[in-house]
Amino acid sequence: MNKEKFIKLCPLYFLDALEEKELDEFKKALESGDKELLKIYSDFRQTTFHLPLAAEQVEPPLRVKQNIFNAIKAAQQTEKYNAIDKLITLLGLKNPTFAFALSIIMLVGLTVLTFFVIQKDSTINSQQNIIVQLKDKVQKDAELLKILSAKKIDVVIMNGLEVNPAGYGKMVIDPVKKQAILQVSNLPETTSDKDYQLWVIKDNKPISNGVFTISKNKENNFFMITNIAVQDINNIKAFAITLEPKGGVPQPTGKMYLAGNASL
Amino acid sequence: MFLIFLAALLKKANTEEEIKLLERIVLKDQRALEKLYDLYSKIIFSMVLRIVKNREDAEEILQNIFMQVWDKAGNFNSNKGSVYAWLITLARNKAIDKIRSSDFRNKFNLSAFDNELKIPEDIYSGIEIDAAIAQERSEYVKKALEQIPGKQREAIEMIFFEGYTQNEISEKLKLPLGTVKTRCRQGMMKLQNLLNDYL
Repeated sequence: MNKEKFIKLCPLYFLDALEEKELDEFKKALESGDKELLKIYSDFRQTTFHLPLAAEQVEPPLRVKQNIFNAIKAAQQTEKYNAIDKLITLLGLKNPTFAFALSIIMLVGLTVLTFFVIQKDSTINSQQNIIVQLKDKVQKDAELLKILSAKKIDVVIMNGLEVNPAGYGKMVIDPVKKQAILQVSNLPETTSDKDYQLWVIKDNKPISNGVFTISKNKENNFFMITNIAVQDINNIKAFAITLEPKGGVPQPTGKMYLAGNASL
Repeated sequence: MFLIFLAALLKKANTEEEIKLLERIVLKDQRALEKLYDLYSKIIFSMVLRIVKNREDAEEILQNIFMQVWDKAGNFNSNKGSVYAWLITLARNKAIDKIRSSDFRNKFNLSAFDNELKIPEDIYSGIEIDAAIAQERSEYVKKALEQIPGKQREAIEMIFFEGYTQNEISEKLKLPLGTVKTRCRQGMMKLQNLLNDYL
């Protein structure tokens, strides 16, 4: 098709005013890729797309915009419900028998899961208790080491008496801080209603310095004495340990298990 | 020269921004749709109202167009024209469908606005209209159309804004078909020359 004919057909093409035969001819010419024809096409296309601008410019009412976004919201809501419905259908929950069976399976599953969670919880608790005990022991050991590392220490040996000759004990005393470590060995285990009680003997009078218990299967027991119960520890004559009612007594009433003279 | 270069740069930036809006709409970004609506609703509504001549129908069509954009933004191909061209094509087709559905007139092909032709895509680059340009040019286009001889303008407007075919115009105006064609052709060629002078 020559340029003149193309120019004649082009404006009619954009007004949809070509006969069928003309339209075929026009399309073929365009698809040939002739750059000059393409430029003419492009210019008329541009002109045609300016035509809508000839209409009187009128603002659309605000409700149209609102309607659009309301419709989108409604469509999204419907899509969400459809997705849930599909899931319910997919899981077969619309079939009462299947739904019942599924709920039983889920209930059993939930019970098993709960059991495992509780068991796990108990393991965690017991491990946490062990951690607390270990921390406590580390702290005690640190305190004992602190006393042992004091520049001056006094040691009082306590021997087993008639009621338990195999027993023995040791007081390692920091005279400056008035703190001590009590180590006891081979003492019988205390029962639930009894405590061993430590006595400081001064001026021939016993002064209570606390109670302790001895647990089973433990050959050596160490206790920290944070404050020796006398003002002037140089006047202490001896240390003794008796077995007394639970919580201790003001004056010794039970049998004496260990005793040792002090020369501080 | 500098101003022409600057205008070309701004035009490119606007067109790219509109393409990005459509990309965001594909990802269901409602703010992007709102921005596109703010840019084009007036131009589209004005054209549709001119075609259907009824506010209610024009509002309904405007709503349908933007719902279609929301659902089918992925169909837009930036290699085949601008966002403006795509929206105007959608709008005109819907408006013509509307008057045709309540009219006795025969159907006619709207392929010129459908991008059905196998045309090299690069012919669209740098020649397209965007929202900013469209608003700015509205008055120029009205003036240009007013300068076209009345009979030619009438033929163009009957086809473009009223959905008549040439045969229908020929019958309605009691004119030979060839005369209608000539009026349309000469009118479009004059419009093109006038727009070239103005723009």
